[in-house]
Amino acid sequence: MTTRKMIASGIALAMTAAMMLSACSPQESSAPSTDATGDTCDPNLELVLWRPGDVSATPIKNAIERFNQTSQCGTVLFEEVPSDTIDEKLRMTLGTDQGPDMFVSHGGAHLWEQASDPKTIYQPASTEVADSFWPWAERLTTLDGVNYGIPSSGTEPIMLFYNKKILEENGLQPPKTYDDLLAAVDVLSKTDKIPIVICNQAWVLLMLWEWLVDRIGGEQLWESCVQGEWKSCWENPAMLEATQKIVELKAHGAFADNWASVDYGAGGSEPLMTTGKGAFYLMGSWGYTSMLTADPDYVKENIGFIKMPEVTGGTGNPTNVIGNPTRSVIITNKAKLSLAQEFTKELTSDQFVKDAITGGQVPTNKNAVDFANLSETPEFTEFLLKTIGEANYFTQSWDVGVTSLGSTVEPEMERVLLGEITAEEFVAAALTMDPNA
Amino acid sequence: MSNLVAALTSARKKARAGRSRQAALGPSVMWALPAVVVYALFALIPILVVVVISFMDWDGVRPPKFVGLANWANLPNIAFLGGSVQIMLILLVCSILVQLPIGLLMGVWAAGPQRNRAVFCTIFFLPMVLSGVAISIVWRQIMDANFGIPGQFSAIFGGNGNVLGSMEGAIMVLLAIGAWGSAPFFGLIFQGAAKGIPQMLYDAAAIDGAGRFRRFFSITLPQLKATIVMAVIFMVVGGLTGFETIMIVTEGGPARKTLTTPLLMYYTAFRDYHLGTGSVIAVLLILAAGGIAVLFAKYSGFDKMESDLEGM
Repeated sequence: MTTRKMIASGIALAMTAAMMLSACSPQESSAPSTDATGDTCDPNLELVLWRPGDVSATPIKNAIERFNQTSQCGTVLFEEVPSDTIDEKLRMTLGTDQGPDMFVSHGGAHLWEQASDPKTIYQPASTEVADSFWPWAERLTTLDGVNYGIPSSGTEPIMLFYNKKILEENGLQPPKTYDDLLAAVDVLSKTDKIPIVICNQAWVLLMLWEWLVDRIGGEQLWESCVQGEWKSCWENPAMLEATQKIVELKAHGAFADNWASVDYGAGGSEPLMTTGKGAFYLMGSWGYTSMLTADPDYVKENIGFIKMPEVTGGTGNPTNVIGNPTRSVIITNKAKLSLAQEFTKELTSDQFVKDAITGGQVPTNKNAVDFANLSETPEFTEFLLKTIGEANYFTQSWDVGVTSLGSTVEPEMERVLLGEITAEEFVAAALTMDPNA
Repeated sequence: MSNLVAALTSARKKARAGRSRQAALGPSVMWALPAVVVYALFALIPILVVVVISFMDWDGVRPPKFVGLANWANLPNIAFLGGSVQIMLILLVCSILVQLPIGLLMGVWAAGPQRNRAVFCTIFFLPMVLSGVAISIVWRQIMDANFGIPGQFSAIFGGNGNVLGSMEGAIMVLLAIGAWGSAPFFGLIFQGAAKGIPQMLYDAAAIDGAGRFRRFFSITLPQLKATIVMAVIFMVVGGLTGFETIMIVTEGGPARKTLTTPLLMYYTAFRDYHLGTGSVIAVLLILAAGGIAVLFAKYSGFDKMESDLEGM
C-alpha cells in the first residue's frame, strides 16, 4: 500500500511542477505570431554566435545586448570559442545540428575549406548592410558573386614601426622606399642597435615576403598563387627579386644574429622595441596595442609608424595593404536568415563603431573616421583609417589565405634567413610545393 | 512455498559449486573488464579508427573516400619523414642517456636514510606535478635570446644567446627540459625499487670489505635490472609518442631541425588536413613503439617474470 501511495504522490508532485513550469513560461511561446513581412515571429528563437572571446569581442557583445533588448522576434546568444580551436570546431560541426547559427571568420581559404558545401551551408549577407563597410572587406567572404559576410572586427594591416629616438640619434628619416631602409640598415648595423627586429615565428618572417612581393610584383601576383596558379606565380621574377632583397638585407646586417632564438610578442620581439634596442619592426597593427600595454608612455613618445615602404621600379601600388582585413559574421543554414540579417544591422550602428574605437580597434565601417577622436591614441587610429581608406587593395596575410604554407614554404623561408639556402634555391624549392597538387 | 525454498537451495548449491570451480581456475576474467573497457575505448578503438583512416583520403570536412593503398604507396614521398625519424632517434637516444643515470642516482639516493631527503625530494619531484604544456610555455620564454637565461648568460660569458637558433642548441634545450621534467619520475620508480633491496645484501658485502662503489655496481644495479628495463621501455615509448614540449618550445624549428615524427604526424593531419597521410605516419609510430617495447622486453628477459631475489 505504501508503494502505491508513494507513486500517487509522485505523480501529483510531477503534475504540480509541470503546471507551475507552464505558468512561468511566457504566454507567447504557445503560438508563434506572424510579423509584417509575413515571416513567423518566435520571441523564444535564439541564434547562437561563435567567436573567440578576447578583448576585441566587446563591441559585438555590446551589439548583441542592444539587439536582444529591442528585438521582438528572437535573440542572439554569444558563445565563446577559443581562437585556437574554433577552426577545428567549425570543421566538425558546420552543416550539422551541433553547428552555430552564426560565427566570426577571417574569410578567405579557411572559410571555403571548412564547409563541405559553402554555398548551401552559408547564407548570403544583406547587401544593404554590407554597403556600410569599405568595399574590400567583402572580397574575402564572396564566393561566385555572393557575399556571405558582414565585418564585425577591427582591421589589422601590417605596417612598419620604428623607434623615433634611435632614428633621430643616427640622423635618419623614416624610410619611404626599400633603398631608404637599406641605407638606414647600413647606418644602424654599425651601432649596437638591431636594425630590423624579427623573431622565430614563421608568420612574422612571412611578412617580409608579403611586403616585398606586393611592392615588386603587385597584388595580383600572390592572388594568382592563392587561385592555384602556383607554378606561374613562383616563376614570376618578382618572387626571386623579393627573396634577393631579403638576402641583401641580411647581408647588410639588418637582422640580429640571434633572431632564431627571439620569441614573438611580449616576452621577446616587442620588448626589443619598447626598451630601445631595435629600430624597425614589421608587424600587424595589433603589435601597437600590445606594445602600448607593456609601456604606454614610452610607446606614445617613441614608437612611430609608417606604411610598408615602396620598392623603386616595382609594379605594386604603394597604397596596397596586407594583413587581416577584418573578421566577418557568417550566417549558416541553421539560422533563420531574416533574424540573423536583422542582427547584422546592429554592426552598422554608431554605438558599435564607438565601442570598437574606444577599445583600440579600427572598424571597417565607412563612417569610422567620424569617431577617430574617441581613440586613446587618435594619431594611430587616424593613420590606420587613412591607410585603409586610400588602400587600392587589401591582401590577406599569406598564411591565412593558403593553409598549408606552414609545412611547405615557411621552413624554407627560415632557411633563407638562417643563411642556409640562396634566393634561387628558395624559389626552386617553393616551386615544388604547390599546395593544390 | 516449498517449491520456492527448493529452488533457492538448489541455486545456492550451484553458486557454491561455481565458486569452488572458480577458485581452481583463478580469478574471473570479469575482474579485468573495467580495465579492458577503458583500454578499448581510449586506445584500441582509436587505433583501429586511425588504421581505417590511413586507407582514406580525408580533409576532415568532406566525406572521406576510400583510396585503398594509395596513402601507403605514397609513403616514400611524404616530405621530411626520413629526416624526422632521424631527429626523433637522436632525441630518443640522447634523452635515455641523460635521464636514465640522473633518475637512477636520484632514486638510489632518495632511498637512503639521509635526514634532509624529504626536502630535496620535494624540490626534485616538483616538475612532476606541473602541467607539461604550462612548463613548456615557461621554458620557451626562459630561452629567449635577449630576455631569457641565454641572454643573461651572454652578458656575462659573451655569445649572442642564440641557443634555439641551431639544431644542436635546440636539441640540448629539449633534452634539458626532458631531464628536468621526467628524470624525477624515474627517480621515484627507482627509489621504490631500491628500497626493496634487502639490507642484508649490503651488510654481507660490507663485511666482505666491499666499498660504496662496489656495493652500487654489484648489488644495487643488478637488483634494479628489471626496473631499468621498464624505465627504458617507458622512455622509448614516450620518446616515440611525446611531442607537446617540442611543439610549444621549438615548433619543430628552426627550419624543421627539431621536427620529430609525432610532430610531423600532427602537422600533416591537423594543420594541413591530410588526415589519411597523417594516419599512415601514426600507424607507423604505433607499430614502431609497440614493436620496440615487445623486442626490448623479450631480449632483456623482462617478460620472464624472474625474481632478482632467488635463493634468498
